[in-house]
Amino acid sequence: MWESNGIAGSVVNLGMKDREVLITSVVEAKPHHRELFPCATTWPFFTAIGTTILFIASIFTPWAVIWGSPLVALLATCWWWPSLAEARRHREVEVPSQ
Amino acid sequence: MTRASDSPLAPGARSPVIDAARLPTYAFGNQSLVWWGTVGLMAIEGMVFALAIAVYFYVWTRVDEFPPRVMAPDLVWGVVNTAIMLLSLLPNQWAKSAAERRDLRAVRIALVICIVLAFAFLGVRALEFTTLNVRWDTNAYGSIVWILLALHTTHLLTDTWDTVVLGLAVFDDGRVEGKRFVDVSENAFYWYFVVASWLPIWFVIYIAPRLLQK
Repeated sequence: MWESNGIAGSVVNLGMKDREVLITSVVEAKPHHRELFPCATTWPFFTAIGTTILFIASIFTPWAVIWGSPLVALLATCWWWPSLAEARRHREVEVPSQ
Repeated sequence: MTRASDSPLAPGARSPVIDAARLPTYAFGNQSLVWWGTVGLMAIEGMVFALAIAVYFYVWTRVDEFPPRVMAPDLVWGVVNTAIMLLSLLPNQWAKSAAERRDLRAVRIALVICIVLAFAFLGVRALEFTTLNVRWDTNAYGSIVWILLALHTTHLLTDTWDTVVLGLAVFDDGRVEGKRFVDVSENAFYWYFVVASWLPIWFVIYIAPRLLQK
């Protein structure tokens, strides 16, 4: 993608429904694949709240780490858990890795 | 410079135009973003392990008797767990190679075996805690031995949880997509780290007190 005077050409046909990011090689910036990103979700916010509660509570009792960890793990799992609609949309535009 | 021969240019384009629709939507290994994230995590966690091991040897330099007024940990459960962990590399490698072949059936079977082995060494790990022959609050040696084992146990717990959640996702056809295979591959990659990091920790907890006895 690099020219001596800047970026050459343009990228077309990235997805419009879900966020996609063009991934290139490090040195030559040769296009390699497009990463399909998850759709927007509020779970990162709730995970941040859970983590904050864990850290603040751990100032007062170390047991907060024990009881808070499953809460954070559960929230992080909800964050990661793939939705059926999103997985279906991703499959529609999927191009297998070579 | 990107040329028509080595990039997915739109046919007939006058200037380099990259048609992203023709690019793969996921990749394995060091071409994957998840791989780089996993390597970063390993670097951070590896440094934490190294610091904890350094503390152990610092304690050794500061005492006249080692292990200080306690017996060295019993070897049995540590050896059993090391054997189970090394054994777990086989289904783990199977899961990784099956994921990179996009063989869903093999991935499912391999993940189930990995989960069974993960629960096996979590059970044995609980027994390890009972045979350290020192409490966490007995002295500085006891504290660092418990910290070393607890740090590694945290990794066992999180990777077991990861594998269970990933296993649930791949058993649901509706949630399977190309990225799930990348997740399985990277989960296996992280598992190598969990096993590899255990070997020096095992040596420090179980062998060092015998070799460095004062």
